[in-house]
Amino acid sequence: MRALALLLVLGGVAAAEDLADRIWVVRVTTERASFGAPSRQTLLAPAVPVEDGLLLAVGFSLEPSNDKDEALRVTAIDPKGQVVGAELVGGDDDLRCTLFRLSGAKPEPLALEGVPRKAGDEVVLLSRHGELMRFAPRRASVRIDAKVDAPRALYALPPGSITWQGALAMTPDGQLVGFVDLRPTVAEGLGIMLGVGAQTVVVVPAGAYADVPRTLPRKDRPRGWLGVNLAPFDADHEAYFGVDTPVDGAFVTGVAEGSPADNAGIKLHDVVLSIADLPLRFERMDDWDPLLRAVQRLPLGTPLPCRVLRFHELPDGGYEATSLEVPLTLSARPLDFNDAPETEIPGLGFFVKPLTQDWRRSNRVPADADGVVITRLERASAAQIGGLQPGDLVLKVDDHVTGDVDALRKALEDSKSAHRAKIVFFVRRGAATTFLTVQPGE
Amino acid sequence: MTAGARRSVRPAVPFLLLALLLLPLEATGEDTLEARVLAAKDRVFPALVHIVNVEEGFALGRRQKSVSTGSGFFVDDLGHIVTNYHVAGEGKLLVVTLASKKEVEAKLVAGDPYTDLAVLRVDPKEAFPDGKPPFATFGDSSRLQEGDFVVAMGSPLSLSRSVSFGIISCRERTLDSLEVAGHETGKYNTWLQTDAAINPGNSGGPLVDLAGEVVGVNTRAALLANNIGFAIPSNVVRDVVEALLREGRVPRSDIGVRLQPLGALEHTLLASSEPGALVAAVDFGSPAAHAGVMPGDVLLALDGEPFAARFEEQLPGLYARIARLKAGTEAKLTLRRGGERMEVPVTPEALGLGLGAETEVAKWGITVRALTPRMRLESGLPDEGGVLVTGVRAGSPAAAKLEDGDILLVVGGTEIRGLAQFLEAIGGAESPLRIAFRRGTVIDVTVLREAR
Repeated sequence: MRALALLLVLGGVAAAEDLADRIWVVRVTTERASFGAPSRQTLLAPAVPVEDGLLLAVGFSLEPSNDKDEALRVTAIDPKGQVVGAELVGGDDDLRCTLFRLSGAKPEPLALEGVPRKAGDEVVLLSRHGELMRFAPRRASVRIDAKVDAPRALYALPPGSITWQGALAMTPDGQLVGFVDLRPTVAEGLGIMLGVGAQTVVVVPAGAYADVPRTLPRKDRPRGWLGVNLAPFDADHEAYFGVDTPVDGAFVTGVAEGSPADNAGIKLHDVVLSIADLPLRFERMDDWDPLLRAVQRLPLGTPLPCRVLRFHELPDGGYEATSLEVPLTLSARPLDFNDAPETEIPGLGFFVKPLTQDWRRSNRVPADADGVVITRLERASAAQIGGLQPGDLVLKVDDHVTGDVDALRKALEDSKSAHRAKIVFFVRRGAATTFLTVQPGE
Repeated sequence: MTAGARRSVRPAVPFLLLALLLLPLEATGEDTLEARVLAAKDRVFPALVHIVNVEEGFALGRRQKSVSTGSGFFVDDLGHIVTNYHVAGEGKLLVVTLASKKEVEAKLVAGDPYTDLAVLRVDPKEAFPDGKPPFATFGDSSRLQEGDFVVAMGSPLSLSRSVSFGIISCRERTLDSLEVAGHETGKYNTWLQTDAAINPGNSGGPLVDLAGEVVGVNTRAALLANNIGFAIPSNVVRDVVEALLREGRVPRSDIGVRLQPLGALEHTLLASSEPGALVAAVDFGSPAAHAGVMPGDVLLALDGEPFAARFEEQLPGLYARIARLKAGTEAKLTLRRGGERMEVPVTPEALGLGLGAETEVAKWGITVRALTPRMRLESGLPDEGGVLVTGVRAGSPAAAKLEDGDILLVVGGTEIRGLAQFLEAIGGAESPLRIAFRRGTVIDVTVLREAR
């Protein structure tokens, strides 16, 4: 029996059934508080297991959000119909796909290799259909309208296939080809920008997603950063430095201390001409996005040699430019305030996040001040009645310095065990500091 | 004498009963409430003026004029008029309408934004036939009590020579976050609260007690409220006006501490057995910072005199005491830190301006303001020189290149250290003008070209 089954798999006939048995469904519920009543939206989408206990869903891109008005609830339904806990890990706008992490399940990963096809070939679309909470496999057979090669191979499908978005496409004998998605009109130099021009239903070859689990900027993994503010080097900049031939590059308007750019020796008002082979077409501020995404996909430690133009002021007030190579190495971006974990302080009714570098910079907190930032307060909570406000930087609680969330917790525990009627909070609000008293509830 | 005909009591027998009933009202004669209000009004009314102020301001990148109105009153026979700083403190052309309805031009003598007071002067010979303005006298505001009758006079909504009547609702009110021309107004004084109707335009007018003495200067009213008005107590007004007339400004010192009353900290770890005032914040680089004063310290005495606030209302008095210290002369702070009592010497400095001067650079289409240490402190700006852009004129060379809030650091190759030097640098600058500027955390450069 075993040998026969193996034969069938090799023959590819049973493979189709196998693929159907590998398709999960993710259910993403977004909740938004509107006038006190939560309004919910639920998205159901097919997903496949990839490496590392992750699920890949194609056809949409969700970014983890810290916006509490839009709390995400994610569950996954395995091929047998069992519900498994899951969380959102990250999304990719270019490829329009989203990764989820399963809690307590690590299904065998599907190899993301697509069999090449050509126009006129038959493909079988395979998905799981959600009806009355039963997710039965369903399939359809279509012929490829056309094959497009730029910038990556895509197989255009008949327009009627739109209901199959996110589905697997396979050969009639059950080998994976790719995933069904929408793309703008198939044309020379096809853009990936969504929503521009008419949409075409396509199969994106599975191989396009192969690197996603490893390269997608993920909430649970540090992202790389350069640590520079860049702006298009425009005609005004050229005029300022007396450059008479147009320079194609990005103007450095800020360098973060201790960042890869700082360590590499990039200076304020250098012009970055190239960063390894990353996209550095800087004509509008929006051009920052592809660069940012490319940087975030690279593994930490990647060497990124940069070519920069540096201006030296001459005695007559003019400038002389020299071009130099600087060795930049990608390192982990310090945690963003947005991505920093939020902790509830129970009893007093408020939430805090650690003081991150970006929050410190944008709120101009002096270097010697350490604390935790209040993000929100429950209505009529002890903390709110005591006068604490969102944005307050808690520096001390009673006589304890609250340099991080654990120290804050510890300080509050000490105050509690000392049975003090009121707890003193020393906070920084704007440019000044102030003392507030909070009376813990019963 | 008071206005209105008054009948004397006729001792006619048939009317004896009725007369007896009327006695409390009639027999007191001049002492009826109405009579006293009329008497008080009559003492101050001739000194009342309506002020129209053509002010110069800066908006949308250009110098602009605007008209505001308010009230005021003569305080001496030399022609000095007291009003609010926010009415006339930055006035360019001031016209006052006297009680006789005659209009005369007034000149600004001096102003104090911290207390929102200003002094104007009209030429008494021009204004009055006898060259002697009728003037009001100040009463002692410290003797007021809640419930005392008061009369407010002025020009609410430009309705000049209006009188309203009420009581003192609260004799020492502190108000948060008031700003006049970028200064912490009310830091050095408490306010009188009254229910005598005060509306926009009443500002600068007198609040008069029933003795006909000025006990306050009507300054503010709570919005979206009924009859909650605030006046600067006359004792504060008298001191400020004296200083303004004497030296053109109110000399104040500062040590750079923000205080909190100790009352709220009772039953906490910071509770103090001795009366004092809690240091909540110490300004960076201030005399207190140099003296080593830290937030959490409890100040106990200043130059040996007890220094304490249990309630918010006591803070203005403490700030006023600090303000009265002599700048540059060492003072002695007694403080408690934890369990330890210590004395630290502190050398106060002269209180700086809240906002720097503002001006227009018409050629390039911007208005700029000098940056003061206080502005840097409050917006956390690095000490790197520069001037602040406060407006950009549409269609000007600076349009779409500079924005409100930009800080100009380098102009035409010259590093900017202050407003005067900036004006000099930009005055002789030719097109194209090279500018390096800070915008938030970014430092960018641009070029301004003169329109042809």
